[in-house]
Amino acid sequence: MTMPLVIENLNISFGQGAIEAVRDVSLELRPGEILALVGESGSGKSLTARSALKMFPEGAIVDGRINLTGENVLAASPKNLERIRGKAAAMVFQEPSTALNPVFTIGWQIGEGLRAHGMGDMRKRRARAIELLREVGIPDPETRVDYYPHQLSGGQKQRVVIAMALALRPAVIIADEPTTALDVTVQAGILNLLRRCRDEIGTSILIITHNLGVVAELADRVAVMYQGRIVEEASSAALFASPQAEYTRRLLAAVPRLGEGTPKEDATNREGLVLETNQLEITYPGRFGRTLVHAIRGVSFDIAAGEVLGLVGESGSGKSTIGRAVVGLSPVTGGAMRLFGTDLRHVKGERLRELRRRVGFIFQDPASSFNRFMTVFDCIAEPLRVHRALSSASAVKSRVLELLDQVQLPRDMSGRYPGELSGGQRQRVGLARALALNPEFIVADEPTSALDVSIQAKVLDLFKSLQKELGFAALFISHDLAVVEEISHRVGVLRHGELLELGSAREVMSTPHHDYTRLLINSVPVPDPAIQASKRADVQSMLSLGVPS
Amino acid sequence: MFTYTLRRAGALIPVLLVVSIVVFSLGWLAPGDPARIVLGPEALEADVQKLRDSMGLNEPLWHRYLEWMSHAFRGDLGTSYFLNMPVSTAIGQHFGPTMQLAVLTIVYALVISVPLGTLAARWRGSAFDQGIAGFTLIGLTFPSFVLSLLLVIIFSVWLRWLPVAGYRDPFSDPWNGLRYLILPALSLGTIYAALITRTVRASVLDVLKSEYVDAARSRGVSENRLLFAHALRNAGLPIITMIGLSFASLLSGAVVAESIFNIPGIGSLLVNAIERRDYPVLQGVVLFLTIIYLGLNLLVDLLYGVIDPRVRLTDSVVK
Repeated sequence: MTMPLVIENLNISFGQGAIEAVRDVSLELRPGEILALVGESGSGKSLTARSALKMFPEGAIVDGRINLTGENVLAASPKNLERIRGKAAAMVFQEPSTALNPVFTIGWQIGEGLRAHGMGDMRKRRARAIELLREVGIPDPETRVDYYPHQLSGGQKQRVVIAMALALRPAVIIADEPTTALDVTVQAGILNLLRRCRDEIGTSILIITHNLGVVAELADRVAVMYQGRIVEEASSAALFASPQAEYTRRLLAAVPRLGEGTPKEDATNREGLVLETNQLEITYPGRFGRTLVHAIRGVSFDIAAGEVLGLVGESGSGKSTIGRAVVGLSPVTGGAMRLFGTDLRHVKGERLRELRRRVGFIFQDPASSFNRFMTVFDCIAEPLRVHRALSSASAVKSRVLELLDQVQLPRDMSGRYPGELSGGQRQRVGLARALALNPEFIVADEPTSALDVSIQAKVLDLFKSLQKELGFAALFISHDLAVVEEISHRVGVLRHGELLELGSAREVMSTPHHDYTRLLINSVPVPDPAIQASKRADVQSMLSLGVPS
Repeated sequence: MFTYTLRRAGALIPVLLVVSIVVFSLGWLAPGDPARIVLGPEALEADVQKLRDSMGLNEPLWHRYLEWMSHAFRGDLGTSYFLNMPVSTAIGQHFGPTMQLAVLTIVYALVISVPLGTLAARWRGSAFDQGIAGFTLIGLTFPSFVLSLLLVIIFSVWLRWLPVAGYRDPFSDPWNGLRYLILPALSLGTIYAALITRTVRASVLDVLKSEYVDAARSRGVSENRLLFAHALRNAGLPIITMIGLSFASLLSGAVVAESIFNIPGIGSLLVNAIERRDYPVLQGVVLFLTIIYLGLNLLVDLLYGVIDPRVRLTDSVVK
């Protein structure tokens, strides 16, 4: 039996061999198999997978053999490559909104793949596109075939990308982080669709992911990559039961698991309230006939001094809007939001500055929330200078160094630029900047979602220990239930701008009251194949029934 | 799309208002008495006063502005002091040649720049790309009046293929009309060809790096199809902006070429009006060119909507 995809001794390097991105990788994808390639960013997993279609970045030096359904890919002529691509193997990309061309309809784009492989008749292409859209579960495909990508939701866009991959019934689908950009409930649907591709069409799938939950949900076999090498290869069941490689063990240990967060004593009294919202409404005005956007509708909660409140929700739920409202970046249009007892609706100028001084903010993406032309030192010192908190330059200097110690960064890093740091280091700098003025309250908006799991675990540990030590209250916003559970005393669940549930972290996770919370919890893939298999039917039935509101 | 059009058009009104005020004040701010200029230095003071009255120069300024605007709305921009004809007629007569020259120039620039820029992006770093870089550098830096003279020497004096200068109406005499316009178009268009080539190359390169191009490639779409069917439309937005700006500046700024080649266009009308302090013509021409400029901007905005569906649909976001 010929293997759909065989990679032998693949080496990929850049800059005349200065950077070895992939080292001596050999892989085999069997017929009808789902193989997961797992690793952190920079491990070479995407490069390896893309090499199956000879899709290399510029300047890559490649050595090895790749056999795709009997064709030698690396030696193929450009004409042959065009024939192989899409037909022998097709790709599904991480970010569906960038994998689709914004200025053409999805029908046209699906048709382009068919056209390239000899389907000349425009009407036939269109009919096939509609058929494919129906296959991947796009409702009303006859209409949607003429939609532009921006008219579809993220999950629908990913379905369209999968439809394109399925168009020519390829032997192999290479899915590069196909659910990373999607919400958990959407992710569950997409993973199910990929499984159906294998079960019903018999496609072999190579899925690249950093999410071990996804692996447990989908994969038959797993290959773990670390620094360009495959460090472990095993069946999914064996890998989770008894990981062999040191790195795999560390990776598994770093994954935050639902229901395993240590119970936190609720030592806070509800006397000193840091933040109080009462029937909060945030509405963005519509301009020129655009409809109003009700981002937040009637949300009430409070945060006591020293308490961490986790807000969970999917994209568009309004969780970031609330975080931004606390520091006055979103307008409060109804109800009340009191920060340290002062209603934010009636505060301006100097008073607002004074309030802001007592609040620290950590942004989601450490890569874009720093000025690239300021050194780490200046980034951390900025709030001190803006608020004229310290009188002398030497005081500022010693404070910045102290902060660097607190976030466990070496002091000599202060002279570097944000672009020279890793993601985890940058987020530590973000934490230091938020802590600079000794805030009583910190708003953290998805602070770890741009980080790899092992880095995330370290940053979360740091956050927890600093919170304990310094005693600040926090509003912790995340889409990741496990992260929120691990870090918060209480958890709130948001959907469509409404707070569906609010309670202690344990309560919400173990006995959720609202169906949506249950769906959310069940949708999170757990890094354990046995549990995943038993949960699967549950989630699918909930998703297909639709969620009652 | 309709509300989008309306919104874009509405945004132009304040601009037009400000420009009209500035243009009108030009005549008032500039030194020299128009009545005195018309009659000459030897005229009697009483005659000058009389003319001032009949020209309305003794009215208060705001009154004159409103008068001028309300006439302008009806297409009446006043009468030239020297040409003995309404300003609008003068503009009409001179706009034809300028328009013909601008169209020919932009067509020449596009025919050169779009293929060259696209291919340079496709073969980036190659000898071809470097050759294009050299051409655009020379095209951008070489003064157009020097180029004009060189072209005249080569094509008119040595080869005797084309006339040295002058203008024939191409609608009544297409063959000769075109022959007269070729040299001015070449000398004017080279700089725009270079400019647009660079824009095309940069924006096509940008689009080629995007993931949807990679995604299409992974489905077996050929390189040529990727380039011309997929990437060029996305790259269109900056290119169209550049073309719009180029065309607008061609319509208003072909003064040098018009003087060298002796073409009776808007540029020469404007220069003559300035030299003779012919304020009605000056004001009329500037106002007219502003409207043309804004109109072209509006056209570019509308083309955005045609190319990019996201621009069109900002009013009705479909989820």
